[in-house]
Amino acid sequence: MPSASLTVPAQLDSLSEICEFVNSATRQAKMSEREAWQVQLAVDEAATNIIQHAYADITPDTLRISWEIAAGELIFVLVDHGKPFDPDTVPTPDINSSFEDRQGGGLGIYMMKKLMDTVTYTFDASGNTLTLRKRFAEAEVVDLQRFVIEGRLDARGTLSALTPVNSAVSAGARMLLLDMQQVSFLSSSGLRALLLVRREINERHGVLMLVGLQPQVDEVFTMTGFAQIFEIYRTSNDALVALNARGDQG
Amino acid sequence: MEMEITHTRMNRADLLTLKGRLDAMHAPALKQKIEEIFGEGRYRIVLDMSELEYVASPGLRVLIEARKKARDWKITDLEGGDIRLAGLSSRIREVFDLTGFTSLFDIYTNATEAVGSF
Repeated sequence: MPSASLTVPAQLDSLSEICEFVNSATRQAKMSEREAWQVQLAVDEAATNIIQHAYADITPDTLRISWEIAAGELIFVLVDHGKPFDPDTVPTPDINSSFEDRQGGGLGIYMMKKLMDTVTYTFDASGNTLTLRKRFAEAEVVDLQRFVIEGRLDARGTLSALTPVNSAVSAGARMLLLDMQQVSFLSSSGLRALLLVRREINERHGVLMLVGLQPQVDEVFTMTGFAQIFEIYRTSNDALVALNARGDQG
Repeated sequence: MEMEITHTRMNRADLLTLKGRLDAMHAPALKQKIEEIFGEGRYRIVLDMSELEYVASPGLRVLIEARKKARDWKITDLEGGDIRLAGLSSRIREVFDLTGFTSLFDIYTNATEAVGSF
């Protein structure tokens, strides 16, 4: 199970480091962009609350944040040694009150609870422990099949170079990533073969991504207008980031 | 990860363009800027949020407290100070919806409309 932890001084300067730490967790969980933002805001609110209240009037100590991914949940645990502070004791703001009656307090805790599935607080000798849990839809990235294509995609070489890809397509593959770094040449025969793969994938509402195009290959895509038809990324990583960002697609 | 505030003074109102993150770290800078403007006897402020990427509760608190102060300044019963908002991205709008802030503020599509509303 992936997990990590971070210990920072309990001060506002640490918020940007915490933000990066949360981003790395949501990326590993392959959360959709919206879920990732919700977790980021909730953890930011939790940390801000500890920094501003648990350590109000006393010398700031440290804040330890850890996360783990288990059974479709991303779990954040924040531990501090400040004043005991149970978020459940903070009155829920009345979000329907008129402007005149509206108060600015309690919003952070309110949002934290709304954005996460569960928020629990415990206090013992080891300090204050706040646990935030978020269930997330597991991305379909596990279904992504990656192929390294090699050689010249011309009238002679295309068929053998694309054989594994075509077998996967025949077997019902829906998500393909073709790494083209080792492709030194692309002719119209190669393009035609790739178009056929694309057509099959499109019919089953799948994903076909091309990455690592050599300049001379990239030029063929641009020249023929195929660059607009195919989904092309610089690196596999870029492609995966783009795929994850689509979140609950598929 | 920072927040930038650009201040443009107009006849009708003061326009503050916010860029970046309005979190606990950066909310005090906005509060200070707004109080500076209030200090000059100017209580009509537009916050252009189209380039704001992120808002957390300390930022929301600054908005509500500033609007309360602005509205205390009145020319007549109908006319006076206000804080009006413009150009909320979908994420910022989501925070506003979640916290009930959407109905607390006058929100305009863009800064031009918001400034023109005064």
